[in-house]
Amino acid sequence: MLYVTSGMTVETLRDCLVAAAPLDLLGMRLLQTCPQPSLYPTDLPRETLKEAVSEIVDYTGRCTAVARRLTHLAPIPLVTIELLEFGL
Amino acid sequence: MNNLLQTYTLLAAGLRADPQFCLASAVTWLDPLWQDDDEDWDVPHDEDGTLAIALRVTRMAFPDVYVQAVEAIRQGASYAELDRLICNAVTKRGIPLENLEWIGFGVPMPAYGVELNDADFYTTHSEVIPILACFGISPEPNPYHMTIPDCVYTAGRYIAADLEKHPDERYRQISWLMQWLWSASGNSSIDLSVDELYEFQPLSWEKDELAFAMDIIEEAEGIMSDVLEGLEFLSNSPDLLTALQQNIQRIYKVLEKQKGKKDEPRIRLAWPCLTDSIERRAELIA
Repeated sequence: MLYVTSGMTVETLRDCLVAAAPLDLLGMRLLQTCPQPSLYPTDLPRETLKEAVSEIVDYTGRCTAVARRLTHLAPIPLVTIELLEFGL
Repeated sequence: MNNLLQTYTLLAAGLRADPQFCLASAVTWLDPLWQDDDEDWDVPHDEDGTLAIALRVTRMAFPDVYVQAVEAIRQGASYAELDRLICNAVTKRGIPLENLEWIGFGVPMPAYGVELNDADFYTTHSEVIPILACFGISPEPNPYHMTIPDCVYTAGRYIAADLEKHPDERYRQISWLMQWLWSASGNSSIDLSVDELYEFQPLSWEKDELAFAMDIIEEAEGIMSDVLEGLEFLSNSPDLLTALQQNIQRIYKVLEKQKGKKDEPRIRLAWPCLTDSIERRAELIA
């Protein structure tokens, strides 16, 4: 909606997305520091594991909620964008 | 290192190096139930989906137990092993979960409530019979017709209130004993029996309700500890039992005179001074 009403270009939108800070989750950091050849770290302190799971559960919960909201968006007429492929 | 292991290591390194793969890998490792679909975990003897419910509950309420359970499933744990693992871990965190099948109904609460109309109570709690005898209650030969008059409850609760703020801790513990016997503590785990508790909608595993349940359970454990102390002290103090009986008779007389009136009875109860109070305080300080 913001995209349509504010006259934002595709380039600006892409720049916004590129400028977003990389995702930093404890679970990912634990995986990256896991000694080879194990796939998943073992013998982690209980609190660390709890924090990592809580963070991931929260993250996946937010992602699921966003995805759900997106599927319920009302159709938006894109009057300022030409989609040549649409005719195909 | 053979080719197979090299391939495995290469793939594992690739999963970590790429941020998107790393995220997918972390989610698979730590939150495999993230899509909340009824994934078949393929654990034998979990025919009614109890395990899926337990995993959803632990995911929400006990994340560390959730990941432990998932790990155990990956290692091929049986249903019985998972039942034990989850129940023990949840119980260790303050919720008495005896069987995984109960987890879907809400937070299981302990029920210490006294059922004086139930003959079995006198068998399982024979230690309270001398105290109940002071109120004129004893297990009857025909247990199917046991009825406890209202005045008994009134007297018990009156004594509980009278001793509630007593300066001597032992009297306060006797007050807790009375509150337990006469279901007057205000804590549902103390005041309600199992059958009575089943009549209420259980608290859910949502964060706020779980925290509330844990507060109730923690308070109930503290109360029951005082109840047992009070019971032991009273049972071993013949003078105190006599004083209790006299006070009960005083209350019964006033209640008898007040029959039909709605005014709160005002009764002055007399309790013996516990002579070893000073020594006991010194002991506690030491």
